[in-house]
Amino acid sequence: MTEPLDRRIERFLRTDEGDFETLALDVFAHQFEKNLPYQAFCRAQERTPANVSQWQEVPAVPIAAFKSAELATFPVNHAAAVFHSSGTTQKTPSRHFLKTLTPYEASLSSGFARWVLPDQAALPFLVLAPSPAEAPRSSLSWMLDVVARRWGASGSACFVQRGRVDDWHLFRALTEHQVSGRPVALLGTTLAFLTLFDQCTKQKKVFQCAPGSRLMDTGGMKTQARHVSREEFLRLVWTYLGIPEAGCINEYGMCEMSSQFYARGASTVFQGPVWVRTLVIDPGTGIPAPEGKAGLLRHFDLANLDSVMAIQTEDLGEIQGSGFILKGRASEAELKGCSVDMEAYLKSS
Amino acid sequence: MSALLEQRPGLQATAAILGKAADVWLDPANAWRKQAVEALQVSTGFSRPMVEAALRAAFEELTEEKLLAFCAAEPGFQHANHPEKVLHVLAGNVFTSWLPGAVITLLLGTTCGLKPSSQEPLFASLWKRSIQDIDPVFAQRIQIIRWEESLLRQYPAIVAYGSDATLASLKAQTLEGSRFIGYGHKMSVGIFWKEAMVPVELASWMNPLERDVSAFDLKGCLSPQTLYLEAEDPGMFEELFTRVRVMPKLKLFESWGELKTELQGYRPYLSTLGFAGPAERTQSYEPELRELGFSRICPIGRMQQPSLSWRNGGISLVEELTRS
Repeated sequence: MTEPLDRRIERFLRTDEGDFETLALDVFAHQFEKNLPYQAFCRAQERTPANVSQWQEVPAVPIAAFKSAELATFPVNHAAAVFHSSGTTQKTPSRHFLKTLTPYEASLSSGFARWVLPDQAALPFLVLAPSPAEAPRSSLSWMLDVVARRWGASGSACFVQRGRVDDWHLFRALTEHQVSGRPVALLGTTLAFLTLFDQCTKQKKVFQCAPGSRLMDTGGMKTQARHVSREEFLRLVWTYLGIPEAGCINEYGMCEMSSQFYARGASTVFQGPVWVRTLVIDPGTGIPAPEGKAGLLRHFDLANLDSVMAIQTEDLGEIQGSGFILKGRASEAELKGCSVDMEAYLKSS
Repeated sequence: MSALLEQRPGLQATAAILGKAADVWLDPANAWRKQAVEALQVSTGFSRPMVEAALRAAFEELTEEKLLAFCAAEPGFQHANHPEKVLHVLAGNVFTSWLPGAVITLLLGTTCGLKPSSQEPLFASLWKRSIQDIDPVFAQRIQIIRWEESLLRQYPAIVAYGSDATLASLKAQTLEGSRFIGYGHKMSVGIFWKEAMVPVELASWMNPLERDVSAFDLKGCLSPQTLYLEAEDPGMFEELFTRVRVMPKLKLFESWGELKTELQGYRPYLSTLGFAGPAERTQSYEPELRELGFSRICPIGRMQQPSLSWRNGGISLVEELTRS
């Protein structure tokens, strides 16, 4: 008897053992059959499991479709969790419906353990993101909560309250761990860390986290107020927390995906797990861009078993070796509409 | 009309086929169309009501009757002169924007190549399929084209949509002597004259305004990015904000002179002006509005539904394709 698809995927996520191509085609067939909006999308392109023979040919949904359609292989009112995108400018968030949290948790755990805890150290996790109680629809809050509960040693806590970094308690925790010589893991959004460094400057605080400490940030370098390069960010981490480059990990994820990508230190090359493959698509031609040329990232994530595996993002990137580098976001005008933005035009003229 | 049909015997049949296809797209009960709408929801990222509104706005202008009336009114249809094939290079997910151009191409009797955008790859194929179901032989005149390096050099005429930079890059790849008609990105605005700002009057403008504002999340070149108000908002625009995903900016103005100065700043890109209030007031400024570059002036509520005869960006596609 054939092993059910969810079991085969789960084994791949837990052991790295599986044939990507075969599983991708099976996941496509499963999603084509059960995810009706996706089926309509594929049929309109005359792509069906009968004529798709390579994972690269599996139709990828534009990421914006997560805002407009219920992309799930099951009735969405039975979802174990629904993750929403965090964009503040969009009134309609993306919604990722998860039938069970098993694939998400398996994928997350594997990637996190490999990149953030390769030494299996037991560290207090100091989290700079809202707790799931405060942000129940945030995949980041859920993710950090899962890893903190699984691996966080005593002293683990969340230091964002009502959307603000609780620097008083965080400073106290950092001081205590520094005095005791106990390494820590700081996990949070890039923006929260930048806010923390601003507070350090204001309050003239500098910490020297114990050797073995590490920091994982996510969410990018762009804040509304300023642009901070990776080098500058790492310099700030070293200056204010005493964590060297090698202890810094940058994570790239999105609520529409169940797997994450990581880059270490000053490297800007993101690597994903073996159950995720990425193509760079030339936006002009719609086909994979030649190597070394930037284009839009298209991810195929087998852990998205019950939503959509193939996602066309609006992120610009370029393949480098076995990973990719991010080159920002394609402009709204190029991506979406045919209007000239009045404000942007005035600023440029 | 009859003289034109004598000159172009295929025109009536073409209009009939395209009109029948429009009827399919306008019929919410049609099972095939239901599937198409579901697919377009995924490919465009727009909600079902938004997809349906866009289809309605586009295809209501493409009924057989309107196509024939358009052909009769356009002198270009008297000419025999037109390229044998035209390539349309389609833009992003304002997914219906290329449709009038493609329809005009077919009415002229020309083969119509459509190179879909990688951001919205479906609608062109779906439209072709709706025509295929009506007349498979005629549908062969519509070709869905995949990108290849030499593509632009294979066509004597190209109609392209995109930003100024995209158009310049495409034009550079065309053959010398070929016709290149570029529809660049544009912007549109709305004006609420003070007569329309009286609460009772303003209430009647809110549904039409919602139609214009909600389409394409304000990203279309016909979407009013700014609404210029001649009097304070009595709170109704705020209420609209709860119903649409993206709201235009609101700006107060006191005099026509002040508004004109403001609009002059956007002169190269102005497309459509929607107005609420007395048509006579708008008409009295029409020469100046045209001078500012507006190629279309219409009441609020009609901004997203230009007729086939609209000269988008001042360009008449029929004239461009039939000039010798």
